Amino acid sequence: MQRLSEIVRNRFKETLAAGRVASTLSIRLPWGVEIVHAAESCGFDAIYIDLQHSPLSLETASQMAIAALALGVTPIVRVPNHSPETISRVLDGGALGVLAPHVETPEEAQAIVHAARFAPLGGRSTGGGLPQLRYRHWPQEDVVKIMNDATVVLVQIESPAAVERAGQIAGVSGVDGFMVGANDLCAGYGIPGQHGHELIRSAYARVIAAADKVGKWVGVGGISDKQLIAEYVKLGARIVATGTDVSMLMEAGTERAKFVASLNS
Amino acid sequence: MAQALREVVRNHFREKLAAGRVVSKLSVRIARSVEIVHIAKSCGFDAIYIDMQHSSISLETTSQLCIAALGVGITPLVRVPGADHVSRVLDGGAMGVTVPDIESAAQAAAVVARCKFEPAGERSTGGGLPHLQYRSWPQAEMVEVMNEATTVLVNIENLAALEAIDGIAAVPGLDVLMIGTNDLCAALGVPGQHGHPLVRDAYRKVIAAARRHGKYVGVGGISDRKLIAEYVAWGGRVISMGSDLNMITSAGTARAKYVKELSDATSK
Repeated sequence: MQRLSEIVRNRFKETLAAGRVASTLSIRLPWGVEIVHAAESCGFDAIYIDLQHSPLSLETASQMAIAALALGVTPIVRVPNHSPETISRVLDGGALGVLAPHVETPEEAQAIVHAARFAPLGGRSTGGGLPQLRYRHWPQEDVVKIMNDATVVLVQIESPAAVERAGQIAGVSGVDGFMVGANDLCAGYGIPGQHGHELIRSAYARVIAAADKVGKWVGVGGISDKQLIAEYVKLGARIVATGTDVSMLMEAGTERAKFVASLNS
Repeated sequence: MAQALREVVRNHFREKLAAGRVVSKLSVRIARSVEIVHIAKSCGFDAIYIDMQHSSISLETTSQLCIAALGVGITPLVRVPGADHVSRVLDGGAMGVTVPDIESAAQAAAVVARCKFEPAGERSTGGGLPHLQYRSWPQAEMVEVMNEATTVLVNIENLAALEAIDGIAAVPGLDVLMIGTNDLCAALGVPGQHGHPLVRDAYRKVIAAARRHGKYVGVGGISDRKLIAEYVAWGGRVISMGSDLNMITSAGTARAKYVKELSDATSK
């Protein structure tokens, strides 16, 4: 008899808990489930299914999440808003975590946790028939405990106001980690695109210090400069969002088309 | 006011070939929506090559991708699973097809017949073509322009085709002899050895036949850049640069590996 805790595994969280750096791939194009298999073969720990900056439907997100569950790569959905119905439908659809954009106050973070976790940690509604449980029935108290354990709640710190309140936001129980959205943060400071600017460095330092104090994780998002990523990891960041399917296609494709063009000279 | 039909129906891939340039194409195997077309264009590819032979992409999706490509100005080509699919694929917006596993000049001629309207072939005229932006044009003009714009490729990937290569290359209306290097290697008993002397001989033979009859040769299935450059130096002109799937896995593997190395260095 297989135990529920063996069925519901979260590789992303396990990687982080082991003190390792976890990698994610953001999905923005409406692929079929093939993309999930490709992501797993690449070696990513998690996929971020991006409902904030894409036309992906909830239906497609759910299909990708369920495919990811079977492969053992952790499906995390970046939700377009903080509404409890969005969060609960995404999780009911198979996600093992949510990433909530633009969190600026501890109250907002608290509301997200409430939507993502079952009682007593939150108020997530129990619909039953979860893909994470392979649609089987289990004693409800096991389900609640194991699902609450396996579900990661990440919030994005991506405004100067959020950086100011990093300590309070980090203190919200039930939040696992903080993705620092470098692009929006740069925009907020009036230094668009300057990911290595002193203000961004000190923002990272501040968020990392706040997270370290309560044993939580910080992630690097929106940065492609590998040296800079390495620097923020050295500061203590542990999640690296490596970019999107679109940027990977553009990067590999441009290089290939250029090669053929070069054969003309 | 009147735009000439030739300005509406442009095949950039073919125009570039005619200008003596080397052209690139990207195979689409797992994308299901039009973003991939814009991405391929931005990358600098000359054509997208929707692979219905080795994917589960439907005719409906194929058509949507082709129509997007027409709008974007990147040539939509489709590898059909078999010759029976040609006319619906072309009606759906493709500006050219590749038919796999051709074995004889007669088969190649039959493909051309399916691709071209009378008098060059026997393609049925359904009307309302996406290539014409759904406008009406005098039939004679439409036939002439569409026949000219529609590119016919066949895959040379078995021993029978190699044997019959001169006759195949001589087929009027055929444009490109696309060498399917992987299947050809398998047929020659040297699987995966894209640079094997037997494969080189085959390339030489196909390129020579193409020269005699004014056709183009394509290099397919090879990722070794040096070898591609070599076959291009011999006369190869159409280069398949892999698929959406392997672009994701090559770029993705590099990125995931970078983070893993970072992780190893950090936890030391």
